[in-house]
Amino acid sequence: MKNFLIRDAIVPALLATTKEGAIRELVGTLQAAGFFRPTEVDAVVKEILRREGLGSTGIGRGVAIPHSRFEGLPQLIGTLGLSKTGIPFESIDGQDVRMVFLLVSKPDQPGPHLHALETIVRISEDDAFINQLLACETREQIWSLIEGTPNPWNRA
Amino acid sequence: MSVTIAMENGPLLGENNPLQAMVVIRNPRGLHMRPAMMIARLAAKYQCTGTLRKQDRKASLRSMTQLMLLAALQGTELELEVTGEDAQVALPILAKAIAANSSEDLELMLK
Repeated sequence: MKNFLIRDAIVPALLATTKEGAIRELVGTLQAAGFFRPTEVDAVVKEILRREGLGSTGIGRGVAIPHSRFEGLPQLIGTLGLSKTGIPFESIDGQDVRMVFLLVSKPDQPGPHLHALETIVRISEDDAFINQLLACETREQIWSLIEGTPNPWNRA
Repeated sequence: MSVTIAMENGPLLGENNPLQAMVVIRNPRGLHMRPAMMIARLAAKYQCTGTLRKQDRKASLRSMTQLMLLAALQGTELELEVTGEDAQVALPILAKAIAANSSEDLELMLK
């Protein structure tokens, strides 16, 4: 996950309590980390919300993966926001979301996007990982946990 | 003679014995979240159960997340297997859905 998650954009405790608010907050942290111009934030948020409108990306077990494509990025980027209270996300299992993995991919690179989705689904099925992640209070704690996860890019 | 009787009284093809087909992913973006969701929704409309296999990885057709774990790019060859009473009806439809060129094409199949 350290291949695509931007350390400086990780949010250990989201302020937002709505789907749109969480998406806006996380795109904002990617912008602050230098990946978008301030003027591009609205377009990225709008595109992610348009995708949510086609079907929620809440995959269950408290995890959501809002995403979109955006021209001009050097590579797929992502961030993670934890919610202490839970966010209504119309997830497939009806549960509120406590882990929001937001991805923005390069339009011509489906491979990294598929592998990022695979990685996030895999960790979402790992009870021990989820419990450890939800117990994190700081960006540093989250990052050290992420650094220890296996990287499916290295798989055959 | 006994063979003929067994055939006449035996289960319909696909009822207990799995039916299989090879399917190639044609969507340029691969089997991403949206097609996975729509395939799972389509598969749930049938009585039969199905799996999609990519080498050593196997996904239930009714599970969006298991389908996402296949991380199947365009051009990936997958083994589709369905078992159940409506397997013969479902097999070609599910194969077509998995091989759809785009989410939009798949969406039309769900209507």
